[in-house]
Amino acid sequence: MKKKLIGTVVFLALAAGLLWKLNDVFSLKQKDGIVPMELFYEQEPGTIDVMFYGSSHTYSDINPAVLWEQEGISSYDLAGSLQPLWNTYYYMKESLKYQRPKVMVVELVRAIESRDYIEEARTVTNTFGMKFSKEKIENIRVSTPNNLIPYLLGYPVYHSRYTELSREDFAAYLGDPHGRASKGYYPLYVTKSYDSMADMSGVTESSDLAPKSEEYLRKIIALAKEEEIPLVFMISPYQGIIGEEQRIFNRCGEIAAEEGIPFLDFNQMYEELGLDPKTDMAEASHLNYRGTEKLSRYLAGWLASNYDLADHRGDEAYASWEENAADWKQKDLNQMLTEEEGWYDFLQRLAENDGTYTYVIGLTGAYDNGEQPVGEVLAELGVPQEVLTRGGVFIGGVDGGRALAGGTDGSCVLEFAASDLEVKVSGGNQSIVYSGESALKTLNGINVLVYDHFTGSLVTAVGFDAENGYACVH
Amino acid sequence: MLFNSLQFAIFFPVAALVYFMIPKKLRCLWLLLASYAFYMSASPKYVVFLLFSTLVTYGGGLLVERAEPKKKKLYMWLTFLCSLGVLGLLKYLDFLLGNVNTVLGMAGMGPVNKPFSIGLPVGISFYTFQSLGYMVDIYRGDTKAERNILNYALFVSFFPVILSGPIERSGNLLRQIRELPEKALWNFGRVAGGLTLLLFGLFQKMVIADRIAILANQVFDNYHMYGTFGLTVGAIAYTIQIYCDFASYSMMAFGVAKVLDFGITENFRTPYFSRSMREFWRRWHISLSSWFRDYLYIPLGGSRCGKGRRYFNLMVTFLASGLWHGASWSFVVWGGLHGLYQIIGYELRGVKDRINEKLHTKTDCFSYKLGQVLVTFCLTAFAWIFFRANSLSDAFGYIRRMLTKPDLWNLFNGGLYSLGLDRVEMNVLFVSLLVLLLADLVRYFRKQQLDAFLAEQNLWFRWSVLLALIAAVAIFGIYGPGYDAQQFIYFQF
Repeated sequence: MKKKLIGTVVFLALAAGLLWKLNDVFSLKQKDGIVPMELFYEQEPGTIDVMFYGSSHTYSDINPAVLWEQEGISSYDLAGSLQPLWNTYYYMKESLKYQRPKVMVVELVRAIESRDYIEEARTVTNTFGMKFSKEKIENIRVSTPNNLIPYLLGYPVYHSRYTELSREDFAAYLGDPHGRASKGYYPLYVTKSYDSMADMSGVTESSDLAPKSEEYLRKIIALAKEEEIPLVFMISPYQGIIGEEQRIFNRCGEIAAEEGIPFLDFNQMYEELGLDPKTDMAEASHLNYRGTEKLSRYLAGWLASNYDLADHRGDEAYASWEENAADWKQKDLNQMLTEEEGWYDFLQRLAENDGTYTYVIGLTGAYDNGEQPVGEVLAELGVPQEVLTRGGVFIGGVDGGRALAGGTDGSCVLEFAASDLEVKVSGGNQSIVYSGESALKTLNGINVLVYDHFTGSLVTAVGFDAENGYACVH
Repeated sequence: MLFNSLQFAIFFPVAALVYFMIPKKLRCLWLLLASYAFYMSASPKYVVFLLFSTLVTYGGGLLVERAEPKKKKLYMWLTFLCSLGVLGLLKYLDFLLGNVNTVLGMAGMGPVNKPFSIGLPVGISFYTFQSLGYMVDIYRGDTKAERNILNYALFVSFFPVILSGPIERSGNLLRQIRELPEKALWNFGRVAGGLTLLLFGLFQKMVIADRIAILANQVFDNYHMYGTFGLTVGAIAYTIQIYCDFASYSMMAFGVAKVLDFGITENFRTPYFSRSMREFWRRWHISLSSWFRDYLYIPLGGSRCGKGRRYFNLMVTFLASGLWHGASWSFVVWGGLHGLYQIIGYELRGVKDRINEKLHTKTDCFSYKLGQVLVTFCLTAFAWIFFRANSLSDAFGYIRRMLTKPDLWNLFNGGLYSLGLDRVEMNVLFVSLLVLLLADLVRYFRKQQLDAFLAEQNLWFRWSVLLALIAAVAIFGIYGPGYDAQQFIYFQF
């Protein structure tokens, strides 16, 4: 009997371990909502001075790394996709169990929400990052009239993800070597150009919020008062704003004024930020990484001058903010390299990299059309004469120093953290294969693949087509 | 409350643990309370009909037993009338009025409206037949009328079987209920075995039945979009679905009852390995088939009579079985088709033997037996079309298209993956079916249920199988928000 009992306990432990691991692998790992909350729990208690709450307009528009770099402010974005104010309220309640911020900034774009319940797939999943708690239960209940238990368990919702599993599902922090240092910011590295921002200066009247939205706005105010933490309301700037939305924001401003809460409506102040609608928007609703930096710099200055916030730079306890800032800078550099269309500037950026890149240069066909100083620039990068003369492949940077000239037979494999890179030269042919896909973009020109060891990711693979004046081919 | 629901995952351990811990004399009461809670969790209002059926047959049983021989039959028929009357009103009145109104319409007369509107109480066909079987047993003197109302109420409402059977006999379930105070109850191997069957039932239901249902539903609900290939696959899919769906429920019921130390009737014995339609009905829904055999076919005269009468008895039995499944002409045709299969089987027996003899066909070899299995499977699958189609005209439309719209190229151009399940889902399905096939082969050749087979194996193998099943259900089971809870098909009967 005793033996059977022990056997049962061991079997149940194995089954529990199996289910736990399955939950770990299959769990949703959305950067917009779930991961920021999970990472929030890993922050040292009492280290965050400014908490930003809200929706995508928070996690995509406010970059804590900029606040850190500029003023040494330790801040965190705790926000979820499409997050209505009732989700924000419970995010605030939950976060205050672990942190005691000196200021709480609530981004209010979702005050426009008029429905009592919105898409479950988008909003209820925002609760999945929360630990089991009264706040989590209430957050789910207020978000959906159905399925409390499955949403609370989570697993019944995401168990069928087996068709979409990827490497990130099996790696800690989504395989990002600096993912642990993230402060909830989720940059948008795309650009959509607009001629102008929407002019809302003429919209002066206001409209009431929907009852549920106003109820939770009032609850947010009450919570801040109860906790005696200064509250700031803000509206992120976005190009696609319409008059009715501005009228609701005006009402938010009136409520803020009644309650003595600072209200920063950046749709009315975008010129102060220096926003350029041609370069700073990701799409009509969100700023891209350039616009985000401008908004974040303004907020950094405004917060530093209006609140007594310590400069934590250099403090060992805040090393993760330092790491996050370095990660941000590197990712922005990588993005700028990705956006570079000219071969000369592209190669110059490679040359200026301070030791985080491995790059592969593949010279194919008549790569030098004789019209531009291609050979000289490549030689400066270290491409040997043999490759310059006969074409072939040169590997430079961190894992560099290798060359496979055209007309020879050779290959090499580089094992990177994200995926392996295989380079082959056979007679007049060459191949550069990364993660199973060819990185050769042109058969007559300069092919370049860049891998960044700092971020552990492929930066870009481009070609400059000699036949078309070295036009960039992605 | 479904066996594959979260509610049951909470209900059953609580019900079982309390059952094991309370004094022996309270066990029956506890199981009765648990059974009513289980039943009422689905639809509380329908408990009225359960109580009615219980009280009528309880009283009827006592009356029949005590009555003079001349009045026994009268009391039995009165009890039948009450029980079947309720079943008829709730289940067949719509069907009857529909047909009457069609006739009235043709005669230019207005329709007759249904005087009340009550849905069909879940499990009513099962518990009604179970209690009527008890009545006949008393009438025949095969069993004694139960005097303890609690025992009898538990017999009618026992939660593992009330919703979808097996339809239990008084000689089995009621006997065990009477013996309840004497049972030792806790037995480690038996509990583990019961849970193993419950787990495999969950696998069969959630991974196979509910997955292949997506394909079957797609094809049957849109049959006009498909040709021979798609419709044949759809018919095969439904043939597998209904087996996995119903057999899984029966296996789970068996497992749940086994945990509680009840041995209930095994309802399925690898029916698709049958080599004739006669054998099929000895392996499919055994508790219902045997009910009709013992309480209808044999009293009608069975096979101990002339050929014509025997065929009449067969046809009546199968038509009744069809009607038991549902009040529509599709079910009647399905039952009639199975009756016809039986009659043709009898008629062809001699012819078949003569042909085999002339062609020197070996009949005691694998290929011949496999051929018999395949023919039986195809006949069964064909009949299921009537069972599944949304109406009788849909069934005929389905068959017509299947026979007249050849599109075999879909077998090779990926057409299989456009029937509702993509390539990944199909792969999951095929692997799951392979697992089911292995389990059924064990059942067929070793005559062992999965739990008994696993109990004989080494620990590493046993645990690997169980953990793999747990993982398969957890990952590939069809459940959670976004999916409609897939009810068991036989609940509707």
